Amino acid sequence: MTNERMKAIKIVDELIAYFFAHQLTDLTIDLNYGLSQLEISVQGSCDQKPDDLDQLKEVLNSERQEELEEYYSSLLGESRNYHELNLLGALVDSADISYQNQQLSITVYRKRS
Amino acid sequence: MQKSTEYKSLSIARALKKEEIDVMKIEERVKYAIMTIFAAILAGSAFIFNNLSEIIVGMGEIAIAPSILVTDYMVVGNIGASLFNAGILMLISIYLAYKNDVNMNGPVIAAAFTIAGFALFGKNLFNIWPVILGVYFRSIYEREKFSKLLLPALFGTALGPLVSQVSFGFGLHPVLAIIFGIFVGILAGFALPPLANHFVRFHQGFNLYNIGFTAGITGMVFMAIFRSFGLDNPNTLLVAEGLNRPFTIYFVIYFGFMLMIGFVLNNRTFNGYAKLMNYSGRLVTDFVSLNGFGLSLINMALLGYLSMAYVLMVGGEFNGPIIGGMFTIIGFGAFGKHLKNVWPLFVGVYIASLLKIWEVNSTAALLAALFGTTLAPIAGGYGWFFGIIAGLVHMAMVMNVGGLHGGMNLYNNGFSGGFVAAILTPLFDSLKRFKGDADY
Repeated sequence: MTNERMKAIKIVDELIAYFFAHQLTDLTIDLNYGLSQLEISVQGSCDQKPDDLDQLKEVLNSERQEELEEYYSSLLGESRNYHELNLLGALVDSADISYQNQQLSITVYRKRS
Repeated sequence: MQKSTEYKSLSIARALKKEEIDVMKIEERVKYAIMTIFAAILAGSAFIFNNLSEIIVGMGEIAIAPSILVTDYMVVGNIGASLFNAGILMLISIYLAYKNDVNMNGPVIAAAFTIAGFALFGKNLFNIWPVILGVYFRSIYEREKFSKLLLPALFGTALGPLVSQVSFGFGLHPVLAIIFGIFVGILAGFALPPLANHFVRFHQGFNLYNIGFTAGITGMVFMAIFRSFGLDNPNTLLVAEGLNRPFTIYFVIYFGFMLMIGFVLNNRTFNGYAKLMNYSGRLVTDFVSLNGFGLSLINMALLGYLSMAYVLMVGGEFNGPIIGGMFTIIGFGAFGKHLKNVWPLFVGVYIASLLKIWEVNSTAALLAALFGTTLAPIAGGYGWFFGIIAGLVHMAMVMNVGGLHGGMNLYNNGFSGGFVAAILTPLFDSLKRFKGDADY
């Protein structure tokens, strides 16, 4: 499998880990591995808006840092004890995050170089 | 997914992103300029200690030194030449980052200062290039941009002594030795990127000097092969003494300058420092992205003062390796280390030195204390008590693993730290002690 596809799998892992950490287990995952960009959307029902959602938005919309990809990307989605959201933010170009009608939706975009 | 809404949202995000990038570009220029000034000061200050001809002669002696651990370039060459070597190598690192359009963020700052630090005792203008070239060949082989492999290339120069020892230390035919030295350096550089990405999982990011562990394993393999041909490295401990007075003054000013710039860039405040100290520091914690360049400089300067105070308080000597340790700490002040997660490691190594067979102010014990802060994320993630335990274990481990690579890997503490983190963190996790980051 190509490196890029492995990264897609790890990004999904990390997003699921975030939802699970907030006790959200009924999820819809939509993945579009396009020619120009990877787009992953995860949605789930959520009674309360997670406290850290604004921070998550900030982190996932921080600038992509390509230099971290080949060095640290294997940490993504790897551990059941720690989150790698900073690293996730470095691997994606931008993210749309919304909480409406008790539905939490996170979509991340990663341009394919 | 409702595609139309998604694409609209995406276009807004892209537009916002573009504005953000434009702002960042201006900031990048400032960051690059400041880092260049720090490197230029280092190179320029060589002339305080020696004149031009002495520096040139010293640089030549440094370039042909086998450079295995621990070889103080202040002894091999002279003080001026080693500082000049440090400044030039740091400038090269900054230039490589700039040329490859990499942002001057935490990891790059850490790499630049680490290279500067180790250019006082093991890296030089000759031995860094084969490793960098090997990583470059890897990028060509994988059809990836070199920028993606810049960090393994910069940190990978830890294997500089592999190149130098083969070229000048094994007593082979001079020309063939240099060719062979360059070849093994390229080979090691080519192997490093996939290994580094693989081994980071071993310690789960709790060992900040990840390449140290990777280079330790790589150096161990090369050394085992060399030994099977009857080639071995001598035990080396070559360190300068009697330089505490000039270097205390020097670093009070150097760190003061860093603190002042950080203070100005952080809107003339220390605001945010308490938040910065809430991060565990585990890989990947880029303080520049998370907390800003100014606050990172403040943190780096404070860590510089703390390490300097530790060395002086235990009666240690400032020399190439010790100053190298201080530079590495300040570099990682932008990438995982802060006052709160560093001090337990100092205490752990200090207690170990008191209880065990090593003198607390010996170069080896001081190096273990300074570079032992590679395990700072353990203190940051599990608490100070566990950080002290990590320091105690690290002190014993680091004195035992150097022989495996025969001093070919300059980041011996990173090698040891990888084992310590891999052993301790699953145990601490089993006790459910990970506190996590306060936020991310």
